Amino acid sequence: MDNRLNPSIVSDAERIALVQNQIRRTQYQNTMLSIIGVLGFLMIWQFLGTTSLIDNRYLSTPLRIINLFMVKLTDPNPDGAVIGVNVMSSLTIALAGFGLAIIIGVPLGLFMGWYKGFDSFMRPLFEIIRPIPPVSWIPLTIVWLGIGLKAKALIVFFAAFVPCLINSYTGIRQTNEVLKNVAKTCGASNFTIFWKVGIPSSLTLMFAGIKVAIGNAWATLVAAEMLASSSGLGYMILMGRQFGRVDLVILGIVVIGVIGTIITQLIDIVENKVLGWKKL
Amino acid sequence: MKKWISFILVFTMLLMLVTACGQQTPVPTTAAPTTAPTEAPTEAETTTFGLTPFTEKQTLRVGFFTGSPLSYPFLFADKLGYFEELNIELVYEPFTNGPAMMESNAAWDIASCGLGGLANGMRGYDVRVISITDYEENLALFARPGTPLAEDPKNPENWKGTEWIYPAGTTAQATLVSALGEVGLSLSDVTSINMDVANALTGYKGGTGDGLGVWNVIAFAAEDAGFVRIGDAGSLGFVAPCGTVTKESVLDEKMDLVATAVAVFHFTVEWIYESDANMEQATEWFLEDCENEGILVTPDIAVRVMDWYRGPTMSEYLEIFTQESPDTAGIYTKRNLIQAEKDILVGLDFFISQGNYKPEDRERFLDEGLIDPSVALKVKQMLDDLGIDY
Repeated sequence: MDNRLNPSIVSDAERIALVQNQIRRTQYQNTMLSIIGVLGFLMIWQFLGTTSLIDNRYLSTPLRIINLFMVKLTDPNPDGAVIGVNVMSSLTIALAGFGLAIIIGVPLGLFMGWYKGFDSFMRPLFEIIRPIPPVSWIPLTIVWLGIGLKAKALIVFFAAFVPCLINSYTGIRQTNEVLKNVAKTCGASNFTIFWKVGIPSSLTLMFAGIKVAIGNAWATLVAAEMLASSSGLGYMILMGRQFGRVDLVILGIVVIGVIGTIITQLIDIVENKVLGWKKL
Repeated sequence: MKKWISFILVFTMLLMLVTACGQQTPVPTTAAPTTAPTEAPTEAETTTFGLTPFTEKQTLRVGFFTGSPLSYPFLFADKLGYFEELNIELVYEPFTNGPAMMESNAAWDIASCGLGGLANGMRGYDVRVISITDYEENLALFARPGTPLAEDPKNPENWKGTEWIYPAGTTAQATLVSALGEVGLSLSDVTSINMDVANALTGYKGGTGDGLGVWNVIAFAAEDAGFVRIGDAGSLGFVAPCGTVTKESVLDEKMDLVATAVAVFHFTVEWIYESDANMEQATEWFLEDCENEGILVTPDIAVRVMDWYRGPTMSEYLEIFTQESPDTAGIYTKRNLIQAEKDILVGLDFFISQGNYKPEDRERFLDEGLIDPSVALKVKQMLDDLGIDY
């Protein structure tokens, strides 16, 4: 009889090794599926382009995009900046707006979710601001802040702020009443319960909100760079459009997608570190 | 088995999704084929310009550049009933941006736009330039009143290190480069910020930037806001032709219709210049349309916009598209070029010098005859056949 199937025979060390092995295998399978998914998509795309099922003027092939990426590493034409400069410019704007959204949105959401008086005071204002499309702030932003980094970061901020606030708000409101009562019984003050029970409880939803926010931030980047710019990925896309360069537009889109994915992965790593205790 | 069925289903759906996103082969526009104008001279005599009406109602979809006079003679002709008497119905597709107009080329049969849009369309969508509709001179540069640049724009020191707001990659940039060239400088001597024209004026009013490069209605609005015009395409001698484009498929199917519409356009340009009363009427219609389309234009600005309009008359149009001479730049030696090609190449060579387009694009435009005299030749033949003076 296979002793791996008999719990009374398998030692703890073997069981742990078995579980770890299963986890590794699942992770490997998932990684391979992801790679196959991406590669399959690229292959279909390349096939459609190569066989001219889709006109190359309207959709460049992945190989041409990769080639253009290599060229744009050193060649600033046609938009006037190499890809590195464009990436840095966009990252500065996106992360400035995104960072501001976390710094303001998360604490605001937590306080609104925990303190009912503050919620009553802030919520009507937030509900008015919430449905306003970030792009509609552009004319006012120009008047208020000019056309520099601050103005563009503010547009991104409006896009990233809402999910940060809503998720923090919802997360802290879902704090388990039993935990709160236990803390109260132990004599904890309201602020202590907020700090030591409420905030840790809200972390899962808070991180989910932050991940949505980074997506929104990147999505608004093109609009923010339409405001005014001389470099950036959004600007590169606009110039691609201006000069009828579909390949440049697609390169901009792909780079935005890749950077967005990398940032999301980084947030996942931070989330795993911070929320490791929840997964035990 | 279920897994395989699901996989095939997902794959098929993906494939359908991707192919559905692709550009379809342009469907022949409107079901009704072009009917050649009737040959009856009695009917021809009844129309304003002596052109022969179509026997069946024709529909022509026009990509219309709102807020810029380069497209408006089509609208004026429509208002005057010139198209109706020829049994032509115009359907307008309004745009305020050349590249967007080119991207939407499936929505129109002919379209008019500025030089940036023409270059974009030829490069990206193989459109054919069939007419020049305006030589835009009101591509203007502004400085703040009281600044050294406003007081002495001939001094290169006043330009160095200044911050300029303008739509990058357009004729506004070409105008700025021309102005910089006049004082021995280049674009690298100033800081450039890309903004579309409407936002650029708002930003400039808000205190951003030392200089502003805008065109048309916005240029006059900037003037009215108190900013000092320190140069423009007209005074700098920079030729910025605007034009009408079409697609090869439309030329194949609707040549007579397109040629008639273009002829009416240039006859209407003549009507505009014919008298002050006509110019006043044209200005009134321009203002009315801008108001309908939500473009902020005052009556005074409308007058100035129309006053700066430089559309070619019929004889000028035919000359521009039929007279040939060698490439002024001396680059293209395979054949002589028509004047329209040379005018467009001036702007295109600027874009090439800035790295926006490549010399290969220039070569291709000329090799493939994308600045196409076939419509002008058709118009000429049509007028000669009908004995119409031009």
